[in-house]
Amino acid sequence: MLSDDQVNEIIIEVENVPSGVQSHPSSNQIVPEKTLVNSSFSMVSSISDIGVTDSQSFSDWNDKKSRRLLWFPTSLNDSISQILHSPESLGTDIPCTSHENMQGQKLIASLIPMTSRDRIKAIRSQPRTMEEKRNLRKVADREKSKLSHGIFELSCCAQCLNSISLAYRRSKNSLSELLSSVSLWQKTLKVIGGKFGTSVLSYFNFLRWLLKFNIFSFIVTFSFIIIPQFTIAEKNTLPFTGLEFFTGAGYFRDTVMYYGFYTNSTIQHGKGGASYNMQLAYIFTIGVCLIICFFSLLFSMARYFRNNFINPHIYSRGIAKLIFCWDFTVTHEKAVKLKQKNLSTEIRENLSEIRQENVKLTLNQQLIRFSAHLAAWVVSTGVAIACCVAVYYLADNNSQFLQSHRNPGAVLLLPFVVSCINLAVPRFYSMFGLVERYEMPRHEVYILLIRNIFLKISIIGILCYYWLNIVALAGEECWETFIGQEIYRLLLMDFVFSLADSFLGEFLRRIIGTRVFTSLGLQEFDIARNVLELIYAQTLVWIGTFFCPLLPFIQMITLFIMFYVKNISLMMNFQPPSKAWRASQMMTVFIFLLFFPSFTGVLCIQAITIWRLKPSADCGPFQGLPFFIHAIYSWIDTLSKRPSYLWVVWIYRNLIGSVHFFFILTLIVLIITYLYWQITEGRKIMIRLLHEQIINEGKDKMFLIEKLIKLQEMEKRANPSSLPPERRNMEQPVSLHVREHDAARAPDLRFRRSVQEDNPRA
Amino acid sequence: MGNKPAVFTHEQLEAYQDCTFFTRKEIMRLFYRYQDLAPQLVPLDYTSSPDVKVPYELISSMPELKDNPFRQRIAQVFSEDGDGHMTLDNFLDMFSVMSEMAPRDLKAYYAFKIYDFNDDDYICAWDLEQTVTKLTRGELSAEEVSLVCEKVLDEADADHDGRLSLDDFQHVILRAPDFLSTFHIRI
Repeated sequence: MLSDDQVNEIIIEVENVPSGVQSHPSSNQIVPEKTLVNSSFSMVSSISDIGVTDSQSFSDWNDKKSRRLLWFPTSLNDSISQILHSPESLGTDIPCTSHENMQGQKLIASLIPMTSRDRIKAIRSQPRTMEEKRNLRKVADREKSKLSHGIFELSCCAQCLNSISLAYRRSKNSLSELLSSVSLWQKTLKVIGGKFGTSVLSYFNFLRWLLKFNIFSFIVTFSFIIIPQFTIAEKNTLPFTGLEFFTGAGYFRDTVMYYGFYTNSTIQHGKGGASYNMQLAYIFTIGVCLIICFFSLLFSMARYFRNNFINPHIYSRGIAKLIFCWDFTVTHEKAVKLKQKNLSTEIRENLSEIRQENVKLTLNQQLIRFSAHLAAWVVSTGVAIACCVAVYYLADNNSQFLQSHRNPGAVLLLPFVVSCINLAVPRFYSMFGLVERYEMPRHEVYILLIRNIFLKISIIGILCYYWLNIVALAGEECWETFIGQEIYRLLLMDFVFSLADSFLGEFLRRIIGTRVFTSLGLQEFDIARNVLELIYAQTLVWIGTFFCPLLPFIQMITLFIMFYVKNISLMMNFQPPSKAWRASQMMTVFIFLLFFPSFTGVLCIQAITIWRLKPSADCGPFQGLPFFIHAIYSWIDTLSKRPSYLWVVWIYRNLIGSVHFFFILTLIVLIITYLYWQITEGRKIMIRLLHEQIINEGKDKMFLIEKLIKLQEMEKRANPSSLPPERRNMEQPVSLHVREHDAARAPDLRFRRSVQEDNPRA
Repeated sequence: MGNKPAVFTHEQLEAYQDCTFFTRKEIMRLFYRYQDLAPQLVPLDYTSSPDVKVPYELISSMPELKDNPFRQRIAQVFSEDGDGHMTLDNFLDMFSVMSEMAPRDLKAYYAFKIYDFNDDDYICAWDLEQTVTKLTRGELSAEEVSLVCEKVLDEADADHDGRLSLDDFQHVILRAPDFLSTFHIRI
């Protein structure tokens, strides 16, 4: 049946009727019990001579007070009308303000017990004008201080807490101001967003976010291991040629860049000065970097999941999203026009898709499609495996090749081949799109993504396998430095190839597209491919930080330059995207990819290195130890001899080193996950039931309204002369109006229904 | 720098900070943008809270708004009297809601009001037609436009009363996670 809200709606319509209400004093009594705003009452009395109006003029009444009637149910907060004159002054207004007063006081009452942080958050999210919010804040503060004056014994504590929270809030504000002033590239991002929209902007935001990771890693490694090492650095006797920038070997081998340069001793300046254990510092610094990156990634991923994956299986191929999600960030005139054109095309496609939705494929066509998919998968996996095998053999034979050919540039062969593979094979995968057909275009994007990430991760995987299993165990001196150099070369070659691609490839493509084959036009920015390249580079950096602590710094510079290069290339060679690209969902997928194969792979590799590999015997901070982890073991041993640090030893032995603890922890986590999963399932059922309830209530409403129309018509036919004269005046235009506005029948029916309500009370 | 008279009192700035999603610096920056729109009209001293409204024509000439198809509706929704002329409070409100810190519900509420052309607190078929026309700038024919409106109502109208209430609209927005990033004007 009708809910209270709908009854309230009807009554409000009653009071908006100018001539009807005034002649019925009884209706004045109804009004104070239901939602009514005093303003509309005054409006009614002031325009009683307007006579009959039709529903169109309801909305034409530009009185802001009537429009501020939030009488439609809002999920945000209680429906409060234009209020927040302070409660005292409300009382001096016309009668029937009691309800409004109640609503206002309810809101203020809900604000008072909140902490000031929550209160400010609640006030900020109120959909009201600034003045209303200011008054709300003033009143809430005043009421709060009145209350706290009343409770005298708590005032000390409460005031303390208040001032602490105020100071905290002020400091947080100033910190965020500082951060936002330091925030990079705000103006550039605004221009990019203005011309190309949110989707391309998401790539640049991702780049900026990765840059923050690298800046953080660099600051930590710089402060804790590079600077101490600088203080006892030995002189570098190797010659310097320009080639070292590319090969990373030669002069750089004996610098802070690589693992091999770091001392394993305890640095002590002067007698009795503080001692600094380099071994522990190295392992703890890298550990802390990785742990903080882990938690930061986890929280970002969770936040994106919460905002964007609310219900992934409600796939709305819908058109409503196209209409309501216009990109307000696009500000450039040409871009807006282009976007409007693209939107029209997409709407047309969507309309035709909806018409063709029920086309079923014949068995033959399905078989052909399936075999095309299968073939594509076989070919792509085969190509990826072939590349891996080629890389492995190249790496294996590279060492012998290097020993025979003394050319220092020869080490660049492997990185060159890897970069070529990374350049050519993804484009080859994109060509599969000509053969394969998908029902939904987003499947195509996801499958391309999976293939590319499989390729990149397998190449990294095979290289790591080679390094950790062959190089580390080969007994070469300073294998860690060698691995560090390899990673540096890979990263640098990848950067050079990206630059070449941007400067040469994209320019060439533009010239071809505009001069030679003008039908091709400008290209569109391939967000997925570029983001995957970023993910690949970041994975290499995370792996390599242990072997080459300066790598985050190098990646920082690389990302910085890439931003500007990509920006310039974008402005000159690309056109805005034609299809809607689900930027938020794709960002969630990218961050998930950054976490799942990429970062977890890095953690595995670090774990294998630290627990299983033997450090090289005569270079680096762990020289001479049987395993890297023995640095920690010996530290715990020394700590256990000192009585004041026994708690650390206890924690290590019983919590970190104990199997039972992890077993119990895992069990608890699994139980909690299971419970949350069940709660989610229950909520899904609840959502479905509520949705059905809404539909049913809508049907009820329509049924009742139709019934009322019938009753009214019957009554009209039965008693045409029993209506009061004003009503007859009103009835005429209403019936005219009904004929005119057939489509908007609902408000008219509400209008007539309100008339009907008045009648029995008359 | 020390002798420059303050634009706002300390209490005013704190109130603005608590009521919008902006920091102090951003509020000052926005004030100077507002002032630049009409330097003769807007005084540099707001300590006495002058009642100054910048006319709609100047607001819609801002680079962030001038090519937006909905600039008129945006100005109408956020202005005090619904005519598009904005005071500083309205201006700050507008950019606060359109900033990236505003929560989804708040943005959905104002987006609903923007798309509700006839201000009847429902998005009816006529409102949808207006929206689609503004979005496609005459590229679609009249039948296509009405077909689109029909489809939208089909998809989104949960209680089948022929128009979208705020709840229906919020339900659509919930299934469109891009809304938060697209309903955003950077200033």
